[in-house]
Parts: sequence; structure tokens; C-alpha cells
Amino acid sequence: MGKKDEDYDEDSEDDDLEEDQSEEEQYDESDSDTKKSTKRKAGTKKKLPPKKRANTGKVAKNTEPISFSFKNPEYLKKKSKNKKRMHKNLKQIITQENYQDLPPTVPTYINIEAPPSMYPPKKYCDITGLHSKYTAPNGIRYHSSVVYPIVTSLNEYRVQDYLGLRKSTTNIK
Amino acid sequence: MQQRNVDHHIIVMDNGGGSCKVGFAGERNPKIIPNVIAKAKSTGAGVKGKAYIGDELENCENYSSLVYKRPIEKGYVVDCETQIALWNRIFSADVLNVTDFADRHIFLTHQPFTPNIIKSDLAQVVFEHFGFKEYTSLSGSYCAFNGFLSEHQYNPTANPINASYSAVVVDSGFSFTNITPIVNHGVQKESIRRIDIGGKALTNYLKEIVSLRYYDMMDETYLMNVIKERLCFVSLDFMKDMNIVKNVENEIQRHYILPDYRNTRTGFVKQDDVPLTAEDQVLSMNNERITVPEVLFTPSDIGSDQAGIPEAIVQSVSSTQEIFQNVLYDCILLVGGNTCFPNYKKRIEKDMRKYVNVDHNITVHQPSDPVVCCWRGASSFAGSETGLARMSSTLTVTKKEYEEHGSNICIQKFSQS
Ligand SMILES: Nc1ncnc2c1ncn2[C@@H]1O[C@H](COP(=O)(O)OP(=O)(O)OP(=O)(O)O)[C@@H](O)[C@H]1O
Ligand SMILES: [Mg+2]
Repeated sequence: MGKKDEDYDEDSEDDDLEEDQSEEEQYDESDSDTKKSTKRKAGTKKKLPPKKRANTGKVAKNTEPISFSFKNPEYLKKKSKNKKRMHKNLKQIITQENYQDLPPTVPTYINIEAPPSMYPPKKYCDITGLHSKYTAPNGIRYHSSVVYPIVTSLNEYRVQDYLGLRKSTTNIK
Repeated sequence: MQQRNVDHHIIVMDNGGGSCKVGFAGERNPKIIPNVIAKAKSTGAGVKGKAYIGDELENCENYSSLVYKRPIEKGYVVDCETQIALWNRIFSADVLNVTDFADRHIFLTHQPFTPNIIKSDLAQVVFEHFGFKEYTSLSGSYCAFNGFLSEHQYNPTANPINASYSAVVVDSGFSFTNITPIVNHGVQKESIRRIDIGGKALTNYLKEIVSLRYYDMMDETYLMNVIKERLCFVSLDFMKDMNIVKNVENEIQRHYILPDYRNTRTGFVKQDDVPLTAEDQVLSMNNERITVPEVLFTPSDIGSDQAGIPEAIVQSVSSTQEIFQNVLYDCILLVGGNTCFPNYKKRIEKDMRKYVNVDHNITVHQPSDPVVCCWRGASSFAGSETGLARMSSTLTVTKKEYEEHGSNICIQKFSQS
């Protein structure tokens, strides 16, 4: 993974969608950057295996950097580098606003979120983007038997990349 | 609204996550400045890449491998330092050429429910860093509605608006989509709905699927955004179109010639009658053309559990008082950059008809320029007598007031809309 230039981000999806990674998000954005670039760098070999990500995730809960620094030295470097980043991200700001103390009838950033759809989600073939009726044992959805050999030939990281597109990496363990 | 002449004392700014629209009160067209500092990735040890601030990005020779720093997250200014750097550029002689801040008034549009921390940070930037004399802030969606109304001054043949000054404003821009009902000039705050999807998420999605399927485009955000804007469109019959794209040769498929960075910096869509040369690198865009904008309608496609735009409009309107619902469905106003996708308005009309009881009329409007509509509304507001009157009575904080009361006075005054 190439080093980031100061605190510039790759303009990836850090603020596109809230992901449920409560532990990891305790950190400043740097951590979600790490996670992102590991998960997202599609088609590059320079990526950390997902296991490493799980490590940093656990670490976040303990918030005692020194005791685990050996697990992922890159991580500490990043963290200290990102000290330069003075500003808080939106999530941290929202937390500080203590909206939970307001009566639920008061509209806030949190409770204006659009509720879920009433309609079932569409299903696409992860490989081709076409409609899909089938799901392989590794979690990949596919369009037809023509694609199936590709589906079964994918290694674990590749599978994670594909599932990451629809943020369902946590579904399979 | 009575239009006055251009008032150079009031700087009007719609400071969006993608671009900052800026100009003087009463002007018709803003300058549009990318709200980003882009930097070339460093090429070697110790060598820093060149940084491009805002509009300087146009001079960048190679859009490949840029990294970006943006002051705004989901519509809110979270990084004041970066914002100041960008505003410095905007106020510089190259753009607006403003130096005498102590004599100027700044009019900013804002997103609903801006956290108080951000409101006071911004007040500090406005009064302490730049030293503006006066500061006004008004709901961006309200301004957009005003912009749509003011269009009729320029184009009297446009559709007449209901006399009640009510509408649902759907602002789908760079970093989010907000749905804001306005009844008789009043923003119905408790009925606002937000979807965390905007043009940035769509570009990233396209970048990721192309990277998984064809070429590694993970460092090519700029290019993928260009391709998205040139080739993606909203499908009016998704099932049918998805059946069409199954075929190897089909009428939806297009070929995009990727840039060689010698003759073209952003590439172009291949024309049917021009043969490929051996050097051309071609990206085939097929189902991607429709599945990317489709995310606006079904965010579950990328794993979000928020409803899509048409459903969220229904959620929003149904939460208003029943007597307002008729008039709101009858004036749905689409603004923001995503409105520019071909068929976007038609699709919303079509879906709304599916979800809404036949008793309601459904009318969907799109301003002539959905990207600058909000700015135009703000400009015409700040440039009109009635707008000025409202500004001075309730919407504006002066430097003196700020010095007396601190940022609390901004929090109070700007929370009304
Ligand atoms: N012709 C087009 N087709 C598709 N998308 C477009 C087109 N033109 C602009 N966009 C998209 O619209 C988005 C910018 O919209 P807009 O200018 O309304 O946002 P913003 O005001 O800068 O940000 P925000 O309001 O979210 O803070 C970008 O993501 C851009 O790719
Ligand atoms: Mg905007």
C-alpha cells in the first residue's frame, strides 16, 4: 500500500455510506482509509489480507496502541502521521452534539435518515452485473452457468473484493 | 421578487461538497469552483507532488493518480483549514478579487441540521479569520426553490407554480440527497429526509465495478467521474434494459476510448463510424451505464439500508400534515448535479405514480440548470428588496453582534431553516 501524502485521502467512500464497523470507527479517518484501501484496491496485489484488518479492528477497542504495535507496525505510523489531521470527522462531531439527549420528536441529523425500503433488494451477478438468481457457496451471486467456473476460481481476497461492492463482506465468515 | 442591481457588497456562496458556486448578489451566473485540493501523488522519496487548489485543477495535465482533500463531508464543512485555503483562492484576484472583507457581507447556503460545532466554527472563520462585516445563512433547499421561482422572471413561459409557495425540494448533489418539504415558504424541518448517496458514491461505485471487471481504475477518480457523467443514464424500465444488456451486441453498450494523456486528458466516447486504432485502450460500458444511477433508486444495491429517492419522497411527504400533501406532491422540484442524468426526472415521475395514491396529482419540475439553481435562488434573494428586508430582520448576524454574543447568535439565527 503506497503511503498517503499527508492527510489527503483517496477520495474513496469514507463518507458515502455508513458502515457498521463500530470498533474501527473509533479512530480518526486514517483507519477507515486503511481499511478502505485494503478492501478496495481491486485488481492490485498490494493489499493486506482481511485478517490483518480484523486485527486493527480489535485493537481499536482496547485503545492501547503500545501493547499491540507489533501486530501491525504500519498502523502506528499511520496513526501518528494522522495526528496532523486537526479536524474531526462528521461522525465524531455528531457524537459530540449529544442528540440522544433530545426528545425523539426533535428532528436532528440522525433521525432524518430515510428508513429502509419496503421493497426487496435487487440481485445482481457480482461478476458481470447482470441479473442473478443463483448464489455460490462462497457468497458470490452469478448470472448463469457460463459464469460459474469464474466464480469457483476466485480466491478468498477476490471474493471479498466482489462482496465488498455490495458491502456484504461480513455475511460470510 | 423585485430584482435590484448587482450588489458587490454581498458575496453569495453555495459551498457544496463537489463545487463551490460563488458570485455577487443579484448576478445571474455564479463561478463554479471545485471545492477540493488535489495533489499529485509524490513521485519519489521526499518529492512532494504539486497541489491544485480549487479551479487550478483545470490546469492539471494528468488527472491520473491525484489524491484529494475535501473540506466537506456529507454537506457539512468539517475541515475549516482546508475550507479557508479554498476560500482564499476564491477571494483571490484570480477569481472574485475581494480584499476588503470588513466592508463585505457573506451569504452562505446551509444544509439542514448543521451541527452546532460546525456552525460556530464557520462563524469563527467568517468573522475572525476573514473579518466579514455581516453573515447570513439560509437553507439551501429553500434557496433552490426560490431559484426555481425566480426563473420565471427570465422565462415567462415556464410552468406556473402553485400560489401557495409550497414544494418538495429534492437536492441530490455530490455527497448526499436531501428531501425537504416547504409549505408556504416554511421549511418543514421534521419532515426532511436524507439519503447518504450522492454523485461521489456513484462515481466510486463505477470505479470499483470497472476495476473488478475490466481495468484497475482505483486511482482514476477524475476519469471515472467524467465517464459517469458522459455515459450513465437512468433506466426507465430497468428489467427490460437489463435483459437488453445481456446480449453481446446491444444498443445500450458504448465504447469509451481511454485517455493516452498525449492527445486527450479525459478520453472520449467512440463514434460508431470511426474505427479503432491499435493504440486505443477501450473500456466497454454496458450494464454499468444503468446500474450506477440505479443506486439512487435502490441504495440496497450497494448495501445501504436507506430507501431510494422516490420512496424517500413519499416518506417525507406522508410525514407532513395531511392537508399539505396534495400540494406537495403537485410540486416536486429536482435540483443538484444528479438531476443531470438523462431520464432522471421521468423515472421519478414514473416511480412516484407507482407509490402514491391516484387521488394526488404528481408534478415534477426540473430547473433549467439544476446545479446552479440553489445559488441563483440565493443570489436573487440577497439581491431583492424583500429578501434584504428578511435578511436584516432575522437572518443576518453582524460582526458587532458576534463580538457581543459569540457564535451562539449564529446558532440561534441560522437554525430557523
Ligand atoms: N451531467 C451529469 N450527469 C451526471 N452527474 C452529474 C452531471 N453533472 C454533475 N453531476 C454530478 O453531480 C455532482 C455535483 O452536484 P452538485 O454540484 O449539485 O453538488 P454540490 O452542491 O457540490 O455538493 P453537495 O450539495 O452534495 O454538498 C457530482 O457528483 C457530479 O458528478
Ligand atoms: Mg449542493
